[in-house]
Order: sequence, then C-alpha cells, then structure tokens
Amino acid sequence: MKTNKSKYPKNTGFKVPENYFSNLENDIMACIDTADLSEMKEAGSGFSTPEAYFDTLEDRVLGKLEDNKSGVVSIFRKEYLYYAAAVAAIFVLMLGNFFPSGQAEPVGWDDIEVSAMESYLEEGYEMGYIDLSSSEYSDFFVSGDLVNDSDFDEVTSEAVFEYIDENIEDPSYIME
Amino acid sequence: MQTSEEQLIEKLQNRSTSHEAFRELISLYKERLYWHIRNIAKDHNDTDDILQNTFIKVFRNINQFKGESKLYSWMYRIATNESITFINKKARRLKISSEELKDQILDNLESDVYFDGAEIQLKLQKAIATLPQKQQQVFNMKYFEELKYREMAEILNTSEGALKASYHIAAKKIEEFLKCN
Repeated sequence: MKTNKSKYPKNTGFKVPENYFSNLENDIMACIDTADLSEMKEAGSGFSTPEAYFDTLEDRVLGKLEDNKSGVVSIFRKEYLYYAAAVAAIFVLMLGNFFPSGQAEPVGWDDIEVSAMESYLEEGYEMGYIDLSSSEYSDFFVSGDLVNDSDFDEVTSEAVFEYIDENIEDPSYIME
Repeated sequence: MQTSEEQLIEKLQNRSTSHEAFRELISLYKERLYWHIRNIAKDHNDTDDILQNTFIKVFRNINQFKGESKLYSWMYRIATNESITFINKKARRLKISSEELKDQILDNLESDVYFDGAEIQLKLQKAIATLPQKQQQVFNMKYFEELKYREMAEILNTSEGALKASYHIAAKKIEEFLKCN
C-alpha cells in the first residue's frame, strides 16, 4: 500500500501542442479500448489544492481534536440512546399489536432486531426525519455499536413515551 | 516481529503515545485520503472538511479497531462513508437531491479555482458522474488512485472478480460517453 507518494498531479498545468485537445478525442476514441484510458491519466483528474495545504493539515486536525475533545462522546451517546430507545419503543408497540395480549410473551429490548433499528435510523437520516450531523451519523455506523444493553438501564418507559410524544410528528398513528 | 502498521496501531491505542502516533498517521495518509475523498466530493473545501472529520473519527474510534482488516482499508471505509454522508447532508440542507448537488458541483467545476483541468478532464469528470455510485468508486480507486484490486476488495468488502467486472463496465461506459459527447 502506498501512502503519500501520490503520483497523480495536483496541478494539471501541462502545456500541449496547438489544437492538441481538439484532435485528441477523435484520435484516441477511433481505436479505443479499456487500456486507452491511460492516455488521459497523464493529465490527472484536474483537481488541485491550495498552496501548502498539506503542510498544515496535522496541526489543524490536532487543533480540532482538542476543541472537540470534551463532552462530544457523551452527547453523541445520549442522542443515540434516545433515538434508539424511541425506535425500539415503536417496534415494541408494533410487535405488541401483531400479537394480541393474552397470547404473547412480554416483549422487551432483547426482542428488537438491531438491524431493523439501524435501517430505520439510516432511512430516517436519509429522508431527513432524524437529524444527525454527518459526523454523528458516521460515528454511529462506523463504530458498529448501536447502544449497549446497559444504556437502557437508565431509560424509563416514561422517558421513552415522552420522547416519542415530543419528537414524532404523529405518535398516535404509530401507536395505533 | 511486529509490522510497522502494528506498531503504529499499538502507539495509537496507547494514551501516552497516541498524539505523536496520530500525527504520524495523518502525515502518512493525508494525501492518499485527500485524493480519495476529493474524487467523491469534487470540491476542495468540502474535501477538507470531510478529511478532517475522517481523521478525527479515526482517532476517536482507534480503540475499537481490532485489526481484522488493514488500517488503511478501515480508514478508507471511514473516508468513503464520511464523503457520502457529507454529500447527502449538504443536499438535504440545500433541499435538493444528492444527484442534483453533484450536477451543480460539476457545472461549477469549470470556474472552480482549485480545478485547473483541461476540457478533457472536465469531460472525464462528467463521464464519471454518469456512473452508478459504486462504479464511480471502483473507477476512481482503480484509475486515479491506482489501488490494487486486492486492496479495493478489502476496502469495499467485495470480491476481486466483481471489482474487475465493475471496473471494466465503468470504463466501457466512460468510453461510450466520451465518444458521444
């Protein structure tokens, strides 16, 4: 694996013969096959960066890290917890409807399909009805941990219903 | 005997050496990851934001890295997720689809001060934009970033055979686009 020995140019200010580009496409494309794409690679992607951009990157990232250090994780976890709790509650309620009382075993957190919750959260993010920041979103999914079981110890049913009541547009519809 | 990557991971996961190691990590991978992100996001300022978010995410989650994949492939996956998420989020903020946003970015590419490509590069970027998301990734990673299929397979969690097929299809589509436009 190469690291920073980036070979494609950051600046494509190459000089070419007059009318080179007006004829190049026809010349190349007349007998093109996959390998012919390498002809264009020499000119690179065309993207460039500000001067000395990479020289200061470490300091800027480390500086940002210091700025974000305190409290970030706990806020995220709390946010996730409530999203997850709310979604879990919805699934519990839906399960409750599918299995009328009297026949079903009590439904708990363990009955919730984590993948279903993840899909719901992912869809909610994409569709805009769950407002996670981009860093929160990928933090959530990259880490691979939804929430720990122990997190639910701190959440009461009242808190979940209160959250749904405040944050879901029409909770009565979901609970029907 | 530990490899240099294992040593680096160990230093990253050790609180007393993590900052020094993190600086080394950024120094090692900043350009590779930058160009990987830039090929997705196109815009330099967006790329800068995403790159910084990516490194911060790597730092925050390094203790969860179990070494089941290579460190670079893990970072590439984070960078890819960050990029896609950033674009979707930005599109949502602008109340347009992510496809419309990509079109806007391409339309503005000619006047972008950090895009100094000639007409052929612009045309190539437009051709790439016509591909489905996954094919774009495969094409960019193979064509511009020159990753090996083995590396791409680990990053994208796809078989090498599927990647070869995907790249071949992507290249053919680009050729067709360039012929017709």
